[in-house]
Amino acid sequence: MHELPPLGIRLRGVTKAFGRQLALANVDLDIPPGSYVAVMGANGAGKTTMLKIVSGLAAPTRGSVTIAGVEMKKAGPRLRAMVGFVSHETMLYGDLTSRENLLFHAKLLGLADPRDAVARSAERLAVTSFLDKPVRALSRGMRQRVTLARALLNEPTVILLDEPYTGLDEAAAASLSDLLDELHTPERVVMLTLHDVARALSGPQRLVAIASGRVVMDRPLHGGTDDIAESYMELLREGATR
Amino acid sequence: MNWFAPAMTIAGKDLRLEWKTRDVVASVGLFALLVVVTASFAFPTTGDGREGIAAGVLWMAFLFAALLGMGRTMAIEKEDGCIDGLLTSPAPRESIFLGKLFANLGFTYAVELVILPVFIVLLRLDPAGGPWLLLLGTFMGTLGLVTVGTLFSAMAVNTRGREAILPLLVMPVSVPVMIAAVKVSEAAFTGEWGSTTAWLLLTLAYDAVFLLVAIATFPSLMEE
Repeated sequence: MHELPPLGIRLRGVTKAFGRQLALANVDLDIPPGSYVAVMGANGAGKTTMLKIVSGLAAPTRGSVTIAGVEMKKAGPRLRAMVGFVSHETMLYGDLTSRENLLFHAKLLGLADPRDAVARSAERLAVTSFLDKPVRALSRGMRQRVTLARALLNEPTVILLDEPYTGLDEAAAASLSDLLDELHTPERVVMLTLHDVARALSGPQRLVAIASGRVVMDRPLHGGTDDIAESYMELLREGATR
Repeated sequence: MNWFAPAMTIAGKDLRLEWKTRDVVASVGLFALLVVVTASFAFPTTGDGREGIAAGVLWMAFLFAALLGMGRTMAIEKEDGCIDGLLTSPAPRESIFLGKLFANLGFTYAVELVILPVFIVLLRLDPAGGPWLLLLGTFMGTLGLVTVGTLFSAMAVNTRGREAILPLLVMPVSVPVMIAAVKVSEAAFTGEWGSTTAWLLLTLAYDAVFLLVAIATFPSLMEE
């Protein structure tokens, strides 16, 4: 087995059970730096659970997750700061303005100049014009951009996004795709869960499909993607009829 | 990263939220005020032993008011998955607990400082033992209540009937600090020192023990 470069993610025998229900069953995965991975599967397949475990938000029942060679269970503040997590919830306080939310998280991240970090992240995500509006008053698309601005405040090297396209209109979805392409650098891991095969085929370079908590497909996405889409749809149909 | 800086950041955020919404202080303050006003009609304002009854009523109001506020401040973190934002941040889990504790302590003690003079006037009490003893006893008792309450509100926040579960969890555990705080307040109202030192020490020990227990157990409570 090859050694992962320093900032890769490694899952070994990751199992997560909620009572008797297995959300993930013995998942092994290596994600080297520079990866742009789409995790797909039907509702309840275990995609969100996998992302939560990688982010350190949930602990595996068995197995281990390591980032940069360090187990997430033992992750210190520096390692946790390297992981930016965007959930399908905004993680923003509705009664605070976008600026207040971003400043709060910048301070939690221990950034030397929180105001500067907020200004830069806001500019990158084009949220500067509504920074002083309460989050509650923003549209779903605007909130999603603020959420992304929060996750990118400290330029994390691992970016995890749980169904980031949910609720976005076409224009907002297109600008999110552009942003994800921009974030995809040789040093960084971008990992997102998706439902839409077309989206998975239009940006990510690797597709991991999960069904009933198991990895059932793990393929690179470059050229000849029609058969991948067809195989994935076949897996979904099999899952639905099981 | 130390615990204190992120804890203050979290408490500061709660304070800012409260400044904007006045959710906690308004509901907690109004509730406590209603209890003391009702008590002023229901209980005697003259006669022997009234200081003991008054101290008991006062702490009953403080306990229920604190429960109301603590449930609300933790529920805020549940909305829109904000708690996940805290848990995935580099802030140590202990500092998340301390941040919520500081905020709860600030809100509750601030309300108590407003309610105390109203209570004293309405029940015609005289803090003969010295206002400092009343304030100290109130602070120490509140710290104990809020420490236990913050821990249990984190446990109860994911449950369906959290408003009912939180008092059920907090009340039995808070009995020692409640008794001690009532005794200290009674001494402040009567001016008779008696065994007040022992009650103050009991409150101090309760605060220290539960603070340590809460800091030690909070991180595992937050694990999914």
